[in-house]
Amino acid sequence: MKQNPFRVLLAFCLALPLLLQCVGVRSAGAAGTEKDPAKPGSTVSETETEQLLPPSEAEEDSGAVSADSVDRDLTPLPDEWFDDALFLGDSITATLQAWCTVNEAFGDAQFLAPKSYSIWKDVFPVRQIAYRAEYWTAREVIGETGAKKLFLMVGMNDIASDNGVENTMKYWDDYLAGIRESCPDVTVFIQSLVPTYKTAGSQGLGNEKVDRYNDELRSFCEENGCIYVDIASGLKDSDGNLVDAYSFDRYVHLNDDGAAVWAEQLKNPANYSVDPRSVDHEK
Amino acid sequence: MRNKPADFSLWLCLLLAVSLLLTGCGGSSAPGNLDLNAFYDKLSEDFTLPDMMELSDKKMENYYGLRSDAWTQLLARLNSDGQSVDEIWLIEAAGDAEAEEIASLAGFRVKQVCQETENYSPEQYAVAAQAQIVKDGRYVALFISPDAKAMAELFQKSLKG
Repeated sequence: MKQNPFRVLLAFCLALPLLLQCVGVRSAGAAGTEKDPAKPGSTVSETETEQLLPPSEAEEDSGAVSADSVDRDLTPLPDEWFDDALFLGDSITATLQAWCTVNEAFGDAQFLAPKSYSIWKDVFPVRQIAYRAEYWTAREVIGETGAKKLFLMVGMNDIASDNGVENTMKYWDDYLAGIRESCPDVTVFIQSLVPTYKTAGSQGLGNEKVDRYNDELRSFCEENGCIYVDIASGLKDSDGNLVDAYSFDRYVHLNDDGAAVWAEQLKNPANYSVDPRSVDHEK
Repeated sequence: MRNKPADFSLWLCLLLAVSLLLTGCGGSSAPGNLDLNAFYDKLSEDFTLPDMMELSDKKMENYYGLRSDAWTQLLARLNSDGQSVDEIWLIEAAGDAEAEEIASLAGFRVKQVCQETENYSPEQYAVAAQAQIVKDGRYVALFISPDAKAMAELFQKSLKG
């Protein structure tokens, strides 16, 4: 039977909008299944996911700059944000502790800073941390303090020893695993080591070594879901050494002025590999 | 870094620290009330103290385990540079048992400071090794200072009026 070309064209024009509408409805239906409006909060939005990931992973996922680095609130963290923080480190951290005590900074943050504290001893395990008239390892004491945010600055004594950077990094796996096992709800922040005085290299702690260790720490954080905090950059002079005016002993320890800058770095959200405020959003 | 010598020196350090404690344990001879703030002022006049920072009662409880109900007067100061070991506790305990407990905490603190400095800083270790603990009645004092011995004598003298 011969078809009238005009009728065929008319039928096609009438059918096309219906066809397109059907396709459109099916697409909308598929999207609705993924973000089920009947279950609010059952899925994490892309923005939230990116905020919880280290920047490198977030960038890989999105193929662009992460939403975290764009959207991050860069106003300084208030003192009370540190109320549930524990700073664990060696004698370098003792300087920050003293500065915070004198200046009533960082709210109710606690500090444990035994001299010569080292990772490998803690992993061994040697109980180096005195707390409430007893000695503890890190994994034992953190839970005792009730802290929810753990700020570590550890390793200076380790990389200064025969362990060097490479062997010190090997201890980090066990060190972190022990902490995570005993305190699964604690968010782990790993601070960079402070830069050392320009002549500290003659005592085995030049900044080439410290920088290399800090690079390793940054990678370790990305691989292990910790938050890296770069406090070193703000303490360096143009040659990459500790600013002279911040040195207590022309070696590795900071004076009051240096500790004040350290505290500033800690309050600056831009220095964190992940938006520090997202930690509070998680809870 | 030095290798750790025998524990003998640490025990010697503790022995020195508790020597005054033992002599003070002879009886509850402390008379009346001693204003610990006023005593600290006198200490500051008689000795050259470094810049010291206050250790709040909360910090004393958190770090050293000093219960808030164990004392009626508390004054604690620590060198504010974060590195030097100078430290002073002046405490009036709530009772005799609490005084014993606080003296024990002070002994632990001296042991801790000695251990931390022994292989770390010979100069600071020398100061820590001279630490003095006084327990007289309900009063307990800890002095970690190059002048610890003289400070302890002044404290005992002040207690006797």
